[in-house]
Amino acid sequence: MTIEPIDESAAAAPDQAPATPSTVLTELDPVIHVPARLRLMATLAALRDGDSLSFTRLQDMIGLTPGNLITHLRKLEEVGYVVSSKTVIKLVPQTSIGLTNRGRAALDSYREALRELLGGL
Amino acid sequence: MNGTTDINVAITEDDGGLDPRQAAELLSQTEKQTKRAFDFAPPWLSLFGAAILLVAYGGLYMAARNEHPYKGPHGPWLLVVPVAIVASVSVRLRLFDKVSAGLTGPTQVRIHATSAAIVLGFICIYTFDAALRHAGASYSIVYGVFDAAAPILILGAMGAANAAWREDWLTMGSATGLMVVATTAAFASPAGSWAVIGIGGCIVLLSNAAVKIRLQRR
Repeated sequence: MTIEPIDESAAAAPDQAPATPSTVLTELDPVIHVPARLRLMATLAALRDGDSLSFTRLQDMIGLTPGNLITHLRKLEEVGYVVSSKTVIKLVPQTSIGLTNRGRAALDSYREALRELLGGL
Repeated sequence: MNGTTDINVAITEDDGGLDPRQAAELLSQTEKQTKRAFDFAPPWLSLFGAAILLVAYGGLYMAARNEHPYKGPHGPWLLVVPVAIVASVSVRLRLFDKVSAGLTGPTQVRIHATSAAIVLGFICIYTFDAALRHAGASYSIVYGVFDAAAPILILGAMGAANAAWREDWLTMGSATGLMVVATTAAFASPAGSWAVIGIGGCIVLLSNAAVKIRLQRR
């Protein structure tokens, strides 16, 4: 299975987020702040640096349909948070997905932003 | 809001109504689930290891306890040892297959290298037996103190070093505990050393399982 590049633009940058003067705007990365992608990032972050997980195992763990999973992975791949690679294991081609350093840093920032937000509640 | 801060989270697409608290819960829940899915040493494995150690070393103690002079374990009780080894290896292989399914990268290489080092360690132990006998060491030393303690010392040292590298302090503590038990057992009688390691090692592994279960429930 391949994660093909898509035409739609990457998620909006945080500085494009709507803000109202009466509120404190704390920005959560819009690419990650979606249930399915948050779970994908958290799952891949559990792997050690350099490790990657097969598409099939990832699908089993997240519980998405292949189409949905591909869509979310494309968005994460476009912003450089995940990287996919094709390998052949025991003569079977396999697509593996791993978190990039940028993705790991983005999840750390997201976690920190959440902490700040919830600390202010 | 009364005494609280209004929060406007910048979401531009696909937010699916996820508020920060839900996001934090989802993140925490996913991290816990993932940690369990990739756990090569779950609590039940420590429980299983405790049982195996007790059965195998208990069997060896039963096979050696009435020997005067000491010649090493022998007799029908020895049959529990291969059964325990086969059970232990097959359970660990199945767990490894399950946890590492779809996983590629340095972790797999490290696991294979560690397994090879353990097998080599055991080959060295039993080669060392022959060398000790050749050098004139008694049956009590070779088939009592040394054979009882050496495998646990090797496994304990490897486990402690590996755990320290991963900053897994619980496993490191347990592995160190096993080494202490094996060293203490050397001061018991040749037959008694099997019993001391069987019971002491079982207690260490049960404690490890109990702490792991408690940590998982947090």
